[in-house]
Amino acid sequence: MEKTKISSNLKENEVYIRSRCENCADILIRPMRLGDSRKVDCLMVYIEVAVSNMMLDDSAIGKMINHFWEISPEQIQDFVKNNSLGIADVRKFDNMEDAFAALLAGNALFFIDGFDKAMKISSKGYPNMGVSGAETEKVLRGSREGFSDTVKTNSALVRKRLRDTRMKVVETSAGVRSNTMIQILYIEDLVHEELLEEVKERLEEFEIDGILDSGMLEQLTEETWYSPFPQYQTTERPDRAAQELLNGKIVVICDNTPYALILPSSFNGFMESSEDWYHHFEMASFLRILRYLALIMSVLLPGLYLAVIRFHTQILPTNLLLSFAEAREGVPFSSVTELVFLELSFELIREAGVRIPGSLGNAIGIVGGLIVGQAAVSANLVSPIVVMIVALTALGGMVIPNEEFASAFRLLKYMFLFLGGYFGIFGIVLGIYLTVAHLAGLLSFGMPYLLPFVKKGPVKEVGDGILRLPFRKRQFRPLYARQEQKRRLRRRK
Amino acid sequence: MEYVDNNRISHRQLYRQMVLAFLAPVLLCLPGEGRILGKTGIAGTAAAAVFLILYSFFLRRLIPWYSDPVKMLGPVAGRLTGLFFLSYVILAAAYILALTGELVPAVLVTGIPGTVILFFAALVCSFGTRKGMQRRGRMAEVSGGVLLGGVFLMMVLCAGQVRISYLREMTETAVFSGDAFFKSVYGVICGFSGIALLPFILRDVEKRSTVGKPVVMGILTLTGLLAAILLLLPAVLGWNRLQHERYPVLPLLAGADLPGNVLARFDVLWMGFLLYSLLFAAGSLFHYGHQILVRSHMGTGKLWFPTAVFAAAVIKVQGKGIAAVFGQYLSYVFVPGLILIQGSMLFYGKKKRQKKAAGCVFLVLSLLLSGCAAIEPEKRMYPLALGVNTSEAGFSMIYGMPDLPQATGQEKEEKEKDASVLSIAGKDFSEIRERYDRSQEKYLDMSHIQVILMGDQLLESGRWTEFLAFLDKDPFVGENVYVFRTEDPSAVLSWDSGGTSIGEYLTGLLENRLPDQQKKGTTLRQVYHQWYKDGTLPSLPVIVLEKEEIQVYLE
Repeated sequence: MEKTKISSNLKENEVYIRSRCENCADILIRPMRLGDSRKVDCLMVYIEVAVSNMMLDDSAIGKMINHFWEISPEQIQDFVKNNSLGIADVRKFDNMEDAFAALLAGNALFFIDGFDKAMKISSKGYPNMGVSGAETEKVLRGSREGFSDTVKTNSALVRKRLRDTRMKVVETSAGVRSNTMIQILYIEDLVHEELLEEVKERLEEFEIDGILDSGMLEQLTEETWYSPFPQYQTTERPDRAAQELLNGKIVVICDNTPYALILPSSFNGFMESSEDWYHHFEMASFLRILRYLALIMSVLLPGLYLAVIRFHTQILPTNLLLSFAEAREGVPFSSVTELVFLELSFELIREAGVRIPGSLGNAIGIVGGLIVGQAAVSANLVSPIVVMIVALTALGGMVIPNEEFASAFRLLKYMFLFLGGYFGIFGIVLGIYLTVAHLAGLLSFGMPYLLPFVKKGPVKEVGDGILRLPFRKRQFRPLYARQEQKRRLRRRK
Repeated sequence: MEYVDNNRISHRQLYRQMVLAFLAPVLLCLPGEGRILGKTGIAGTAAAAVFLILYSFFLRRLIPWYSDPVKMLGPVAGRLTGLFFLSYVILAAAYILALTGELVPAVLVTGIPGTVILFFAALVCSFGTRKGMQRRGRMAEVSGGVLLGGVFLMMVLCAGQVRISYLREMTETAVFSGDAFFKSVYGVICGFSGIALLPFILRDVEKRSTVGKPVVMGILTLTGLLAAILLLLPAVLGWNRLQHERYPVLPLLAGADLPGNVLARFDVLWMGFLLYSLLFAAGSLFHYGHQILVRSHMGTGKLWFPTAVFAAAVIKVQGKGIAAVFGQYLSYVFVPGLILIQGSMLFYGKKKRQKKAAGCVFLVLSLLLSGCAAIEPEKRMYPLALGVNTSEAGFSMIYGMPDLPQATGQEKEEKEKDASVLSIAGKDFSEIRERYDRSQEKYLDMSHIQVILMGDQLLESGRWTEFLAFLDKDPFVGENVYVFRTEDPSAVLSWDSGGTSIGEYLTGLLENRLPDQQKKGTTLRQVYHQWYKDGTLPSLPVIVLEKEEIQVYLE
């Protein structure tokens, strides 16, 4: 597409800008005359809230304009050309499209008569929430910082942790109307070049009107779109992002999203928490085992319960079985209906808890869990054991550190529930076979999803399986990193 | 990148695929009635292992022939070779599915028709089998270790049931003959006939020069497991019983106890492991079927191939299904044909070398329709003690039921008490069962019987054999159940045991003692053993009801 050149005639530029910004009340176009004799025509274009008050001395724009009032017209041109004011983030554009992209990114544009370029001057940018705590990935040990809604802030938070110019930040944009800024972060000598190329290709593969969140980007670029398993890992913790960069992975940050996407992702990666790296290896390993057990519980418990009480009663100790039978006495529904009913009720409570603000959400949890559960048992709608099964299943799901990954198992739970309920252990084995077959075929950017449980050669001392090795034993990077840079730890002589 | 540049699998993945695909078919189909057993079986397995290892080296030389048979042998001979292997794959997959369809309703989920089981198994096994070797390799790598570990664990737990006297029976009575030995060797080779498909996979294995090691390890692991099972079976079930069991591996853990009594029985888990291996074997055959079709230039068989397998598994000619003929097919068609084809390849080959919506609705409907067999726990009757005696009608069965509210401490209001003793008479046990089904609201769940009381009249009349034959057919009655004799089982079962059931009372009476004081009761497994051995009964503890007090006299 041919680009519109910026004219050296300010009037022409003003006409073009006004025509493009017609009925855009938030974009302010401010002509002004500067110079000691007020003879130089200038034009400032900016988004109202995104740019600080021009008269304020403490803003770059304010300082610049104040200074331009005191110097001659010739000096103004000279100042602009050479950025003599030393404004940190300043850039010149020779066409309107690039200039408008900068304007819409929250910067001010400065035009001057007789100069055929527009000058972008950064200011405070769009309103944002600033750096806040990580809400969904809470840890007992480790940084409290979380990503914000602004892509630049987010990359700065990662840079703060990796102060090395080998960490590269490549900017691109997606969405023909939203022009959402996307940053690709990687460590130059660790990342596989093919992986980097593939990421870039996939980002450029589609054309969409707008990208409003990284979730949209994720769904558009993932390979197996029908899989419930996330193929990107998300994190809102800069320390986690930095750690994954050190593992040779790529981090993609999308504007307006307080989450970074990490790729390639793996099953085991979703089961890791960033504090696994900070705890002692015994505790970290114990917690990981606990999470795996919780995962099995969250997906299999309802199905196994149904399989056992409906088909394989011989497996239970007699007293336990008799308790189950007695507890179900008088319940009008079949055990499958009963369990589905209670599981869905829990899903409702959970959804309500998320949507309802703050403390009310907690109240909903208590009301739902205690009162509804208790009332349902008293009214003989469900048996107490099923309440326990649903509660344990829910607890298991909550232990999984990544919410999207846990959601995949939330869905699978229903498959196992029906298979166990209608086919017993045979159904459960069918379900496990299907799940393993699906996971075995799943790739995340060419890497098997089941890494490191499936690996080609002998991979020693990486220590990122279910058990975490002591730090001093973890001498090598995972397979994601280039093999010539595989050593991450060595003893100084 | 390492993972995107080829479609190769690692040695570990190859090893685990072999173990997963052969484990259940070999353990289920080789030992048993009229097949491989005892000393000759173990010796035959060892000899077959040596042969299979040598054969695997030979197979490595045939990789180019399997890569593109049409190119190597010409369009006609190449396609005929493809068809030969394809017929094996179809029949083998059908056999495994038919086996699943036979075993699952019999020992795992009663009430669901075998065809439905078979259909779902075929559907799941055909999932994703056309999507590359790496997928199967990863599946095997991720689940093979767990399965192998589980099977080892089960065998270790099973070792607790071993009786040296049972094992001695085998060593003393089993005859070692040359004829039986060669039959065992050939039987094991036929059981491992799937190994002939190895060149299809070896082409996709990395570091092909050292690929022999995982193959040899796989053969050794599998034949080692088979030999261990052949040793365990007579030591656990007894030599004579073994000769009458069609699938003796199935009840292997029926009498095993888990430390801590976390689960009453865990043979369901054992069957679960075997079932997963069966599914993997069928899935592998689907995969190879696709490979053969593609390499023989016969299309992809996306739809017709699974349909053909399903049809071969279901269709019966003159009442005989694939299960009845597959053994003969292996012995008289496939293995000899294989020797012929592979031999000619070697001879011929010196010069030339190298090479959704409607379905969903249907599935959901099938799922719902097939699931009516499940019975809720409160709709089952759980006799904890079973009495049996002769009566005027023929036999009488007395079921000792627990008083649920009292047993569980969950007394619900306005609830009628279950009858604690139920007595039904009939001319034989089938009629008693029919009468129960006609007269009782709840399903009879015999899986929690703790004690069996045989009446003196029954024992003296000699008709106890009919009772044992009836019990032997019910896979849900555990073999760790204690067996007693008494004059009047009905009176013992009606005795007020003070809140606990008579089953629990008698079990407690034998077990709730310090280890050196524990009384040795007779279990159902011991009864079976003696019965299969010489048609007699072991001595049973006697229960005498004296002055409203129970006395148990051990031998």
